[in-house]
Amino acid sequence: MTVKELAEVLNLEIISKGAQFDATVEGCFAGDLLSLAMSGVQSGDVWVTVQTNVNILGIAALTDAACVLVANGMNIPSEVSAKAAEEGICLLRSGKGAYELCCLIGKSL
Amino acid sequence: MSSFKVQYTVDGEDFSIAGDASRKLKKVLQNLGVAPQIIRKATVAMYEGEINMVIHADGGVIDVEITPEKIHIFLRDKGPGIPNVSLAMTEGYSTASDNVRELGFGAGMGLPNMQKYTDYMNITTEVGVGTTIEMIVNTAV
Repeated sequence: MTVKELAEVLNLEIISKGAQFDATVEGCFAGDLLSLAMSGVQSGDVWVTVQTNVNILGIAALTDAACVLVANGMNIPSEVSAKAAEEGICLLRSGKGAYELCCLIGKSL
Repeated sequence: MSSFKVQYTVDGEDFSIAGDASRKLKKVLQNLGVAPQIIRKATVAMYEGEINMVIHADGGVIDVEITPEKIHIFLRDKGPGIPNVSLAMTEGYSTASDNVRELGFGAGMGLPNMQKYTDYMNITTEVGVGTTIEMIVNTAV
């Protein structure tokens, strides 16, 4: 399943398509501590988090995450949305919580 | 490829660009054809060091030498130094401020991650003078 297909199935809000929108989703990681995400997010993962500061983009780029999925409808600062688009990072958002999102992603993959 | 050297200056005051040096190194390593799993080890370790420089040391300088055998990283700062290195190496131990923790940093995983993802790490530190961390990632898969 591609990020695009996942976004459609889960009705995710697309903040930035980035370069990975048509990439295949390989797995999922949930967590808000950036060091844990840095070591835990694998290439092709959907990273589910409530963090919305600009540093999530660096983690996504370095880990080759398929996308960052912001849970609980957290507010994403406009400069973060702009930088995601600028750097080609796929940034999505949902009003659902991390647990529910992970369950849905698990069923979809 | 014989030897390739790059140097990055880390700004200690701007959290928004923290990690830029690691991203630049990743591109350099990709261009040199280094294996993805080796790039991941080097960039995870360097990212943690870079973030530590921003959080604790008001920035610093990172020198990287890439040879066919290894990626050799030196992180140098003129920060407060580490009073107790073995305590700092303990997973979960952190002296980061609440403001930094709210950003998702300061989990006490930085130095342990650096050790975990490198094949060699050595910390030289003096309180009030600064810290130098040497890391090596072997490029043999």
